[in-house]
Amino acid sequence: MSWSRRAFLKGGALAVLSLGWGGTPLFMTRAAQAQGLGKKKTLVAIFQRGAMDGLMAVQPLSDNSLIKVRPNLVLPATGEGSLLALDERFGLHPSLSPLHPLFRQGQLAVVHGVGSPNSTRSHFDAQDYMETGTPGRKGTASGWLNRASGLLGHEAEATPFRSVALTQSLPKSLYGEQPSLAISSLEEFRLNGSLNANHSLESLYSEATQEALHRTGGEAFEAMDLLSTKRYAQYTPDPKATYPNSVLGKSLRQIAFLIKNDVGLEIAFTESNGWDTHRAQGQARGIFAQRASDLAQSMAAFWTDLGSRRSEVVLMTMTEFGRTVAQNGSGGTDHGRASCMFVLGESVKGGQVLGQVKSLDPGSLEEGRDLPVTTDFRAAFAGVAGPHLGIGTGSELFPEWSGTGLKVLG
Amino acid sequence: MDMTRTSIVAGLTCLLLQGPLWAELPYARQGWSPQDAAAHLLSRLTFGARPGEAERVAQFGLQPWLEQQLEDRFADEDLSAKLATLPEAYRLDNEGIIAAYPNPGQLRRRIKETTPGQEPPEDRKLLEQRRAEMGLRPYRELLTTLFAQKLYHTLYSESQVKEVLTEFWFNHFNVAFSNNRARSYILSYERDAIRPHALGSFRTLLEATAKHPAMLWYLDNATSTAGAEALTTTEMAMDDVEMNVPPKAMQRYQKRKKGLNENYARELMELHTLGVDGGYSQKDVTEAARVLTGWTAVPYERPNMEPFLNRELKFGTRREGDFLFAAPLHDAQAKTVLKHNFVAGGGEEEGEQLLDLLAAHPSTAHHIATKFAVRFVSDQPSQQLIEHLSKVFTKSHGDTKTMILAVVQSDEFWDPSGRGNKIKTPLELMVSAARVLGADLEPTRQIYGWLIDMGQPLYNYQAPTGFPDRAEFWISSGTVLQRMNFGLQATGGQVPGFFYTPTTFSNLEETAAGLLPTGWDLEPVVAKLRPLLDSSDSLSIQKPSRPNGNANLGGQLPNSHPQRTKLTPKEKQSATMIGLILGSPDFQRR
Repeated sequence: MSWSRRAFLKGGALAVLSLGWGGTPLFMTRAAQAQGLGKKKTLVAIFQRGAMDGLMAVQPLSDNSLIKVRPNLVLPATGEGSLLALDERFGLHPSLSPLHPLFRQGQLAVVHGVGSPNSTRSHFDAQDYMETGTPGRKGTASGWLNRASGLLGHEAEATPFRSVALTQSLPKSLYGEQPSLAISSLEEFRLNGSLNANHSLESLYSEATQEALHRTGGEAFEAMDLLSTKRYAQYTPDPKATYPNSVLGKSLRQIAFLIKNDVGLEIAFTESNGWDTHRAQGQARGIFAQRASDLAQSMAAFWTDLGSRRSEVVLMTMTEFGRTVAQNGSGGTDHGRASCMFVLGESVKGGQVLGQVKSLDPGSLEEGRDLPVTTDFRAAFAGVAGPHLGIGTGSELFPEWSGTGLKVLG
Repeated sequence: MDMTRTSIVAGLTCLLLQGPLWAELPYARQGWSPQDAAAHLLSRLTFGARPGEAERVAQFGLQPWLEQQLEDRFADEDLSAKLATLPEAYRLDNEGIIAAYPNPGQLRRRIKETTPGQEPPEDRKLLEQRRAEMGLRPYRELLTTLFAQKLYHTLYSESQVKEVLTEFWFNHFNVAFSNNRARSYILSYERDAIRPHALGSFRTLLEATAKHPAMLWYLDNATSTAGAEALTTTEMAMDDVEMNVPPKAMQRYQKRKKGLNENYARELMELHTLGVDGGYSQKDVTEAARVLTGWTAVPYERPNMEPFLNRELKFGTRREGDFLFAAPLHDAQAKTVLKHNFVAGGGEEEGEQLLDLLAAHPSTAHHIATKFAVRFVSDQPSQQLIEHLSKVFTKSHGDTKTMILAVVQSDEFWDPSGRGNKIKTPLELMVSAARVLGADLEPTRQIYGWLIDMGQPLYNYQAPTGFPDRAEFWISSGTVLQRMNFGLQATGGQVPGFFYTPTTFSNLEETAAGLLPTGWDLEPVVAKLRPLLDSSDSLSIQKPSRPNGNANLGGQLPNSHPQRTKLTPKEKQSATMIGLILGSPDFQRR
C-alpha cells in the first residue's frame, strides 16, 4: 500500500525511505521539481448552485408575455434600475454591471437557453448530471472536469495542483481517477505539529487502509509541501482588483494567486451559492441582485488581477437549471429548465449572446411553464474546454454524447 | 405525556416478545468477541465510547444495553445539570423566543410599534442598547443556546442512541441557519419536532417537521397560497353553510391569494419521503403544493398578532400550537397526487392525508431504508440489506426503534470487513474525542470555527439535502489536514472551549489502546509513533491555526481564550501522543 505520489516516483524509492527522520526533507525535493512547470492554459469553472434565473440575469428587453407573468420581477429597458443593453434583444441585470464593459470589449459571451436534455427539476440530480456530464445517468464515477484533466495529454506528474477546487469538499465535477485537491483556504492549508509530529502523521496516512483517508491524505501532504514555499498570506492582488469579501471573492483571489505563482494549475473550480430564489427575488434590488453583484464583482476583480495572465485563462459559469418563467406566490420563481451561462476570456467570441431564446408565450414553453433548452450544456462545455485546453471533446469527455461543441471560442 | 411514553415502550416490548425481532445480535457467528462487538456497536450508535465502556457493555450484555437505550428512561443527571445552566431561551416556546429574542429586523419593527413616530436607530450599537433598555435578550444568546444544547446533548446524554438519531433525522429534515426567517425557530425545531420523535414513528416526525415554523419558512410553504382564480376552503364553506364573510374581508383575502410556491412540496417528495426516483412527476409536485396551500406559521413577529389571529379564526382558520391552517388561502378545488384524488371542498385534512400517503408509500420505505443502511452500516450497503430494511419499515409502519433493531440484527452490520469503514463527521470526531478524554465542550466561537474548518458548519448546511453521508464528502485535502490540526491543538490546550485535563498514559501502547476501539489493530499506529517518542526533537505546536470562527453562526458566539495550564514535560509528551492519535486515520473512523 503506497501512495501514487508523483514526486515520489520521480524521486525514486529512496525518497520513500527518507520519509521520517534524517535525510532531505521531502518538500524540498518536490518543490524543486515544481519549478519550471511553465505556463499553461487554465480553465476556471464557477458552479452557481441553486439554479440561477437566466431570464433575470439576461432578460429579453421587451417581451409582453414576460411582463404579464412576472410583473414583480421584470426590469425595464430604460429608466431607473433598467437593464444594460447587450444587443437589440437582451439586457444585463444592473447588478451584473461589472461584466458589461467586458462584454463590450468582446471578452465576455453569454450562452442563453443552456440546460440539460434530462428534465429533472431536482437540484441535486441536475447538479450531479451536469457535474458528471451524463444527464439521466446516475452513478457515473467521474466528473467531466476530472476527465478533462485526464485528457490533457502532457505529463502531469510534477504538480499536485493541476486540478483544484476552492471548496471544502471535492465537487462531483472533479471526482475520478485524476488527482484533484479541494482546499477552501490556502492560508490554513498546513499542519501545525512539530516537524517530527507532522512526519509521523504523514507516515500514518500513507498506510491508512481506508481509501479516502489514504488517497486524500497523500494528496494533501504533497500539495502542502509544494505550497510551503509560496506564501498566500503575503499575496497582494493587483491594486485595481477589488475582490468582495465573500466566499466566491476569496476563492477567485486564491485561484489568481495559484495561476500567478505557476504551480501548474490547469483546472480550477469554485462555487457561488444562494441562487435558489423561491421567495422575494426582487428586481434591481433584492436577493437575486445581491447574488448577481457578488458574482460580477468577483469575476471582474479576478479578471483585473490576472493582468498579463489573462491570455492563458478562460472562465465559465454553470448552473443546474433555470427557473419558471412566471413568478410564484412568494415573489420568487420555482424550478425550471434552461438558464444562461457566461464565458470570459480573450479567446472568447465575446460581445454576443449565443444560443437561442424563442418566444416566452406559454404555448412555446416546456410543460407550459419553463424556458425550453435549446443548447445542451455538453455542447457549451465542450465548446469552451475543448479548444481552450486543447483536448478532445468526443465521448471520452462526455460519454454517450455525439454532439458537437458550440463555437464559443474564436 | 407519561401515558404515551409508557404505551410506546409497552408497544415495543410487545413487539419484541413476539419473537425473532429481539433475536440475539448475530456477532458471535462472524467471529466477534463480546468486547469487540460492543466496541463496534458503540462506535456506530453513540457519539463515541467513554473509557472502558466497551468492556462494561460486553459485561452488561449488548442486547440489554440496546434495550435500555431504546426505552430511553435515563435520569440523565449530568445532562440536566448542564442544560440547567443554559439561558432561558432553552426553556421558552417559540412565542416566548420571538418575544424575548427578536432578531434585529423584528426589534426595529417593535420599536416602531411601541414608540409611534420614532425611528429605530440605524446604528447597531444603539439598536442593541435599545434592546437592553426594553428588557430584551441579545439575539446571539439564542444562537449560542442552540449550539450549546447540541454539544451538551451529544457529549453528556446517556441516551446516546436517541442523540445519534436526533442528528440523523435533523439532517434528513434539514433546515439551515442561513435562512433568516427560519433561524429563530431552529432551537425549538430540534427540541420539539425532532428529538421527542427521534426514536418514534416516521409519520409523526414527518408531520411534526411539516408543521414546524422552521420548516414552513425554510422551504417557503408558509407563503404558498391558492392562486387568484382558485376557490378556497372558506369560499366553498360560504356556499355550503351560512358563513357570514363581509365583502371587505373577502377582498382582503383575494389579495393574499398570490399563488403556489412549490419548494416544500418538491423536497417533501424528493428528500423527506419518496426519494428522487420515487416515481412522481412535475404535475404531482404542483398538485401536492396545492394540497399544502394555507399551511403556514403563526406570525409571532407580527405587531398586533392577537387581533389578527382572532380575525383569521372567524374564517375557518385553525391554530395548532405554532402551526396555522389558513382556510381562506387553501386551494379547495379537486386535486390528484400520485393517482390519489382529493375531492373538492377539503381543508387541512388534505395535507395530513398527503403525509399519510407519502409515509406509507413503498418508495419512502426504500428511501429511508437506504439512509439507515448508509448511516449505520456502510457507504455502499448491499441491495439485499436495503430491501430487508425497507420491508421492516413498511411492516413496522416506519418505527425507528424497529429499524435500529433490524440494522444491528443484520449480518451485514457484523461483517468484520466493515469495521471502521465509516468516516466520523467533524462533530462526531470532536465529541468522541471529548468523551474518550473526559473533556468538556463549551459553545465558543473557536469550537464552531473548528467544525466549519473541518467541513461541518453545524445548523448551516444551506441545501435541504442535509450533509451527505459518505467518506468522500467529509475527507478532502483541506479538511483532512484540519482534522489532524484539531487533534494536535485540542490536546495542546490550544482550542478554547475544549476543556481538557492532561491525562498521562504511562506509555504509547496504553495511549493507543485508551483512545481507539477495542479490537482494532494498534500495531501500525504504535510502530509509526514510537520513533517520535524516542526523538529528542521538540514536540511543540507551531503557530496554531485560527479557525474560521467569524463566519455565520460563529460570529454570534462568545470568543474565548486558550487554556493557560502549564504542562509538565511528561504531560506535554502525553498530550502530543494523544493529539497524534486523535489526528490519525484510525480516529477518523467509526
